[in-house]
Amino acid sequence: MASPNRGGRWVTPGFLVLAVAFAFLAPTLFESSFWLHLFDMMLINALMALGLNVILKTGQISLAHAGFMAIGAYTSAQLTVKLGLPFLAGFLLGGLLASLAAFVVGRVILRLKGVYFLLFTFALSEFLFLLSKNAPALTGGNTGVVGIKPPTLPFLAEPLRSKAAFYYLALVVLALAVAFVAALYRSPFGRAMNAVRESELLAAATGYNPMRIKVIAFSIGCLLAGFGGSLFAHFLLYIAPFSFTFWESVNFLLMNIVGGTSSLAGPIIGAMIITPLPEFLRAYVVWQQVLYGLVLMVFMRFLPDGVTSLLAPRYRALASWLGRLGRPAPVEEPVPARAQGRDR
Amino acid sequence: MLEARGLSKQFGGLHAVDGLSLTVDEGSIVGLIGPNGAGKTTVFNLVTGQLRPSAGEVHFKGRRITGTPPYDLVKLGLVRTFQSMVLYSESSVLENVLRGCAVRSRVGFWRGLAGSRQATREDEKVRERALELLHFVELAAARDELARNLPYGHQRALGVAIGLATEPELLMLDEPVAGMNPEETAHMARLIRRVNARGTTIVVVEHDMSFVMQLCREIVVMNYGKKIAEGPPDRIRNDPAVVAAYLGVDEDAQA
Repeated sequence: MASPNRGGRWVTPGFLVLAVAFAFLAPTLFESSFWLHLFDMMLINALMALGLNVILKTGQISLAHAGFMAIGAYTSAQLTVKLGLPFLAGFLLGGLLASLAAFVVGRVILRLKGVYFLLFTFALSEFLFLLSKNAPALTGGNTGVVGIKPPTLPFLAEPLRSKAAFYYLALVVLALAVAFVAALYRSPFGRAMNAVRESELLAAATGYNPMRIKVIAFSIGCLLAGFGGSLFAHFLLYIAPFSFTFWESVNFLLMNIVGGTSSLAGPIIGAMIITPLPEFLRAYVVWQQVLYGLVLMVFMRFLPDGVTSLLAPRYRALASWLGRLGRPAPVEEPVPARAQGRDR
Repeated sequence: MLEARGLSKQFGGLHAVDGLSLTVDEGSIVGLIGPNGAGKTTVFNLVTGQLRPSAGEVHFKGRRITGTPPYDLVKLGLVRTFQSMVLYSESSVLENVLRGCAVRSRVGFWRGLAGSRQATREDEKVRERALELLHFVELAAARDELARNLPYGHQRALGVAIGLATEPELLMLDEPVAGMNPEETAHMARLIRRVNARGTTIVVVEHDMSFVMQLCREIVVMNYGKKIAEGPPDRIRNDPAVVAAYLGVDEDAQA
């Protein structure tokens, strides 16, 4: 079972230093285009999963995350291609527009809870998908947007054309996002999100406004999704509706579940595990969704708090050592909830 | 301190509460009792903002609060506890109380995010206050336990501590001793008196007659959505309408 003591041995400060060093050196160690492409996608997906993690923190499961990614991607792509704005403007406006859309929609749909919210975000995701297919003036329809330029930065003479150069941009964006979300979870607002997730009723009865907290969290999560979308567009240099289907949203959710939702490392580790999977399962494309389903079930049953729960005890010590990066998992006995004699 | 006038609530054709008036004086312990289905919990939900009344008004500290959502009432000082086990059950006992304290904290979103020195200082103060409250409800030893692992009586005490953390002026307790054994009940009665002694006004909705008779100086009895009696315990005990509501009317005696 999910014994948190098992993984402690190999997550040492030394291991962590290695991991960080690896993150920085990866592009020089792996020169093959295949691996670089995967690493770049991992970083973008980690950013996406991190955004979804903020939404999950309030107890809402969104299946429209790829839809908000699309808003960021199309905004950033069209602003740079059609209006010739610099990448940074497209990136920022893409994120902001996705966040604004989330704020407006969230004020209505966050009234729904549990499976109803989930279903509605599924519908929203399909709506955004159809919109991107059928509004050629905005999105280029089925053809998508071509001719997107690689990212340019004001202090760099050359655009970040190579996959290795892009890697460092994505790494910086992800690091900033992690620092931001870590600060958010540590702040009083983090406490508020946890309160709303665990009991909206009690949260409201002790002075938290659950709706307000959920709308803010949803907007922040989708801000990161918009940023992720922009990075995605300027990485592949081509976007089309099929990049942002409902299945992508499922993937971002899967990353959170496989990695674990209770610490910041979860979505990142999840992205590192899930992103390469399709590449290695190429030969079994037909079985891919089935396999995903199986993985999901196995994790829910045996590792409900994801891979990071294997690392938990030592990770907690590390977390304080790192200036409390992320929220340490709650101190508890490794007893699965169902094995408890009484529920109440 | 609290005044309800002509409070009514209909669910379809059912008059759950029908023209109820209620006054709670500052510093008192008021009991609201009645047989099953009398409308006590509905009154409770109307006053604490969970439900909107069909008619009537509620005033708190001279201010009209009809229809104000619960989270705003908390800021005004009107706080409720829950009947069933509503806690942050997957969090530590201390964390439960800390979340209750948050409403009185003055750290804004951005300052909290930046982790400013003010935020850190506030954090320490809040922690101290939470621990103090845990001492007060005699749960300090269990501060690191998960709330769901506490024994039943302690869970109810934690519920009170979370309520107190919001610094209420009026604390409304929904059946605080439901399902408790006599020992736990006596313990809860002592706790409520101590809360009251700290200057918090208290309203108790309760089934347990003897508990309310012992605890409250002022009792309101409801039946079928209406107030049928009101007064100190001695008067209530001998009130024929109350006796009839609880024991049924003796038809032979009426004949």
